[in-house]
Amino acid sequence: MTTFENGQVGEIEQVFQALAGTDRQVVNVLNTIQEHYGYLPEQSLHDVSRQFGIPLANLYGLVSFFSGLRTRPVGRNQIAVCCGTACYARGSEKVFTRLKETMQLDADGTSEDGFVTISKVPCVGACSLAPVLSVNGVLEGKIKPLQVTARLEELQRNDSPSD
Amino acid sequence: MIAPAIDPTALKGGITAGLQIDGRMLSEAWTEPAPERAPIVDFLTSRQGLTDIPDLLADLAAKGHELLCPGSMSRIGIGAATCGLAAGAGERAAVLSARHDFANHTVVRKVGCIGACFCEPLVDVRTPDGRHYLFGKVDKSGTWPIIHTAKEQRLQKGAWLVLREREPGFLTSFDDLLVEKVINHDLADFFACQRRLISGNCGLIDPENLAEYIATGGYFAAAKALLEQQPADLIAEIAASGLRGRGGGGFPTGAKWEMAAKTGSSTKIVIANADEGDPGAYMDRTLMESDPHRVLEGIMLAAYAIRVQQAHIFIRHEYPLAIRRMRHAITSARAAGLLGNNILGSDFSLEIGITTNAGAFVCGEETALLSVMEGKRGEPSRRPPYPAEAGLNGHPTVINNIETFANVPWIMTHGSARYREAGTAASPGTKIFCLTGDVSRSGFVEVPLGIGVTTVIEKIGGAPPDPIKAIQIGGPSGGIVPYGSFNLDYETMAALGGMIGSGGLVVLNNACCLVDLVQHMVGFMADESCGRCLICRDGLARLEQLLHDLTEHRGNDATVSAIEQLSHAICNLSLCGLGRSAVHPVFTTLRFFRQEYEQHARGECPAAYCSALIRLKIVPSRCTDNQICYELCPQRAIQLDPGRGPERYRFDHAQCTRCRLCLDSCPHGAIVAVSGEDT
Repeated sequence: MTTFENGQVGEIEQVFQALAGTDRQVVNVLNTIQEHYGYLPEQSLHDVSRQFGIPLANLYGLVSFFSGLRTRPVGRNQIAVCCGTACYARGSEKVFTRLKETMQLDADGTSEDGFVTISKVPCVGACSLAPVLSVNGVLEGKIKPLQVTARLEELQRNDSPSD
Repeated sequence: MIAPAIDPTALKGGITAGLQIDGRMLSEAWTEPAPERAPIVDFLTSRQGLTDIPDLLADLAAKGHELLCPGSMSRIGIGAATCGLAAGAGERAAVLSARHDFANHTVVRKVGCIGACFCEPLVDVRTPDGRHYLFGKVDKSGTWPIIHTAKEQRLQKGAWLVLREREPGFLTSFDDLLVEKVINHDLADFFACQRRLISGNCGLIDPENLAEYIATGGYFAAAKALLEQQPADLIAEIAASGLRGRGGGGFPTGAKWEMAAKTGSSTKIVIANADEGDPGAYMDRTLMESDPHRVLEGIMLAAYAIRVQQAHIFIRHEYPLAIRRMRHAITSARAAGLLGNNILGSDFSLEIGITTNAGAFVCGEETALLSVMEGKRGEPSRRPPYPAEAGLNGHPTVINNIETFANVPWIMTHGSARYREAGTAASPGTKIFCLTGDVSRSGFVEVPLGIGVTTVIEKIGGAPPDPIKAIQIGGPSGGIVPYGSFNLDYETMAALGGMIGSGGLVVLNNACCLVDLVQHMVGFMADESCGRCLICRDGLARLEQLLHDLTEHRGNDATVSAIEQLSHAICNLSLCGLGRSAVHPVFTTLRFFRQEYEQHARGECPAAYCSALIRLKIVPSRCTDNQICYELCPQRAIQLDPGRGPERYRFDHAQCTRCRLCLDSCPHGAIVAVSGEDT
């Protein structure tokens, strides 16, 4: 994968060059940057705007269109609750409510201490294990609202704010 | 990974060995070249009707066959697709792979998903005699029987199903397996009514190994097409098969290809749509994770048929494993010379790229998808012109769903006539459905189109303990239809007001509140509206609000008629399929379950689900006074009087938020939700 150096224009060029010719779309570059930083830093958007010749306003319009792209940093842990039909019918909404009530979250779904970001995801495609939780990218199936507190405590035990 | 160059002695033993042993045999060997093909190569060649098989495929097929059906070793295949990994397949694989005592008699491979998601992690042990022992729900302690089966090569306690290869040593699809012994009926019943044409390799082959795919006959159809057929032959065969687009529209694939092939443009593009956003559907994910080369081969055949040199796969970012495996497959295929310039020595060249979407349901719509690939917001545009005439950057572009492409190699291998043996006249072939919800055996099933829905749900999925109320079919833009005896094909579903869509099949029992579920779906569609049409953007949001009013006890009969009117307006005035079909769940529920809306308007929730319309209560006859509810209630809504027994529990309904923690946690089911004011 692409290695990122200091936040100069170069890094976007690196990302662009590292992608195969058929893969060089803006959305791939944005995804790669987000994969690296966890979000899209402002500087990188300026660089993408220059690289692709897209006005910055249009680029922000593009970024805000996608629910998967973020322009603000995320918490050290990321929990996504699957809200697909199967998960919803099996109570994922209650799992989400329970998570939200347990943590103090800001408008972006991140806790004030930066410990966790909680979000909803439309469907992760593991419907047979509904309801599904994605904890730092790893899926956990058949979650009950009851288990949420214990799961958060487990995460907190392994969490070091200095990271 | 692509293996290093194949040792020629393994393939053409006689000749090369002769060369090495005795120089005098050299001339004899060369004067009489009798290249001995591995039996699997002969088998595949005859099935395909290829006159001259490329050495590359012959070599890889022989190598893959040795991996897939080792003659002297047992092979353990661990289902490691997303669903398997979520259930713990990764840990089981780590434990089994680390065993040093396997060195001489057992290999451990990670395979894809066989579809039986309900019994993940699923492990398949193949012994050298061609028997497959399937183990379901393999927990930590369940690894011992697997190890013993692999070592002793006979049945051990703990296996669920024993299958036998029709011809031991030949495994080219799930169809080559016969059930020999049923130990746990669940798994046998799950497979009984299925026809696995497209997903036949899923869960059997290692998705990251090109040779194993070729050993099942993979890329033979591509080789035959490139070396012996004309593009028009392919289009004619696909048209004759009657294959219809599996993404939801059901448009005839042959006609779409023909349209693009006819345009005079020098640059044309093929796009595989893997932006499978329909909640409740994951067939594309499973195909990409379990058998990525089949998808690539399908794309390659389409590209050849339309004379395209550039193809793209558009995948949603929520499928990281599928993206990784498709990338890996492209790299392997290119390294082997099956992609790139002059494939297999023909004059056909093809590059396949991957575009990762960043989370927007509307991008499953083909014009929106094209906008994203052009670096714009994923807003749909008006058709015509259709993408097949003017698509990506104005070039003719054929966009098909992943499952559609996965059908193509099978059709080209076995012919359109055999394909038509499955399915109905208007909906030929098989379709993959994702069976989930309130059913005991959920998973990924492939059945002939036109099959009865009761067969799928009761025979394959297993009759659930509670009565089934409805089926949600075709994702949020599909419909909710009452459970009954209808057939699963395009025409029947359209007549019911729903659609097959990509094939999600969510079974809903009486505990599910349909009004609440419809509100959730409309809310999802409102979130996903691109905002271009006012009626879709604001109309759906308003519709969600009206439905919310019903579930929150703020509605009345006027709310129900407002919902109906607004839904018609959204359907009629939206530009693209998202808005037009977003109200399908409303229409179908109003048609079949109108009384539920009316009950909500009166302040009742028949499923006892909507918080504002229910009360929780204690059933004294079931209560054992264990105090779990009292201790867990975050609101202190359950109060305890002094004394003993169920009589001392009191519910403070004003405090209760209906979070249902007490209901979920009571081991005796002593707390129940009841509709209305009845306490």
